[in-house]
Amino acid sequence: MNKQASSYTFFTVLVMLALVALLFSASSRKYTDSTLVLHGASQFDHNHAYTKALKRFIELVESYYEGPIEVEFVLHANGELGSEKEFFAFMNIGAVVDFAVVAPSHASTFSEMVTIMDIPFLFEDAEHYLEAIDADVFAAAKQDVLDRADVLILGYGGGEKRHIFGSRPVRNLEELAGFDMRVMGSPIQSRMFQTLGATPTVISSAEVYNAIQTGVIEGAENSAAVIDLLKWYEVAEDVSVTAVSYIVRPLFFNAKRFRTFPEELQQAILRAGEEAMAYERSIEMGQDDPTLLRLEKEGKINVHQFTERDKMLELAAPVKRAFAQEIGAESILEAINDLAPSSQNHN
Amino acid sequence: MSNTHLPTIIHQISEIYFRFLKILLTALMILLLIPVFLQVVSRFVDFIPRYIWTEEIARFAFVWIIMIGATIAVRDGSHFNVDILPRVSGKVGRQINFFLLCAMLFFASIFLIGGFSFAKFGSSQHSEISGLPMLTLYIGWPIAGLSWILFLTEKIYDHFNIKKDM
Repeated sequence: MNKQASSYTFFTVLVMLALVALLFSASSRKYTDSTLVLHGASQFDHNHAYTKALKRFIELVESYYEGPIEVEFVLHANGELGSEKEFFAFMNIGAVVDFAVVAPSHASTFSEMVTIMDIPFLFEDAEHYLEAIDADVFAAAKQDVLDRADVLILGYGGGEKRHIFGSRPVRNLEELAGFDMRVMGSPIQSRMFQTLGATPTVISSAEVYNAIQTGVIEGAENSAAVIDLLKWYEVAEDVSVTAVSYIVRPLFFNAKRFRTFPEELQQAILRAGEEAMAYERSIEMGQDDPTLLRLEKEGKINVHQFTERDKMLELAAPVKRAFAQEIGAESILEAINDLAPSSQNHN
Repeated sequence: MSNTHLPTIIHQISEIYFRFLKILLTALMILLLIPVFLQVVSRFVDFIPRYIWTEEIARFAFVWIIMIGATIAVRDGSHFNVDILPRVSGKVGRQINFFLLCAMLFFASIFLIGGFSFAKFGSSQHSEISGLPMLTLYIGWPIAGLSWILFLTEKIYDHFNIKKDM
């Protein structure tokens, strides 16, 4: 072995490693300023309900907090900072994004329990959904996300209904049998729709349009707003009012930063978060059915009523129970079921 | 000097590791093909069940194919270069080559050092469908960085060693 060459080589590698290590340590240095800057992120435009809710959240924090620290807010809309999956990752690391409305499924790699929010047929109707949110039924999942991902849930938005839609109507369980449908890539979705007789396939949301057009699937399930936004009605004009699920969309907050804030600011953030998300729910629920009606009026879709939703809920119950057991969320499911209108009639 | 072309310890280690990676890459290609084939065919044929784990396994295999492929390409010299300057030979050419190796080394060091915090980020997660620890995926970044450094060390050694020869 050539001694001189090996010592040169060793020296070069060492210098590069030291250089990069230095760069990293310099970039992770904390800057302490007198003003606090909080960054909110949304992947939608300024008219979307999530972005509006974040704006309301900012206004509320500003009005509730009267402390000595100057708090400044920056709202990054239109996916400036990436997509929801990244927002959650950033909040977990404790950098870049401080608050965002994110689908709970993006937290599922950290906390299994949080996937309870995405289960189909969790709520019987809109009142049931609202009551459950008011009763804070997801408290245990909220704690689990905080423990495992170090991200705080401030409030719950959502409320839009997801309906089955496709190239043919689904008016009863008989028509659902053998319905080739796209489901989201989580085990409970496949299992649930398989139990109901459909044939679920996992396909990315971006490919739904093509898949329906080419006949790979007959349809899928989603909210009227998404069917409108992604123009899925062009290939699938039969929307069946099934209310497969009521969407739950929590407002998350970067817990690593939250802990460094003074008590009064923390209180203001907690209060504002809850109120901003109540506002978000009211926007979403107010727009949901009108969007469906508008699409029908414009002749873009045909709306069909599903007649056997009660029977569908019955079939779904054991699947929900088994899944809740797997993810350790039995108590959450029980709390939700206790609030169900049908269970209250029995009492 | 006659001993300059004899394989040194670093060449031996690199060679063994290189062969191992090639075998692994082939295995991963097969691992990628089977689930993707299953998934596509199951949409049209009834007797193949519609597994959902296929998606996840395919993604995992794909990520590792990229990381290992990039590593193999470092030793192969098959990463593509964009020529900004005309190709020059002689002393200047050698210096440009050395600069290129250093730039790659710099990049590899970022993967190695930055990869640790990236792996830490993955270590607290489990995949959605099969529940595999996500560390099995995220650890690919620091490992790739380390492997690149190994192969680049070999190349830089050759660079200095052959210079002596001339």
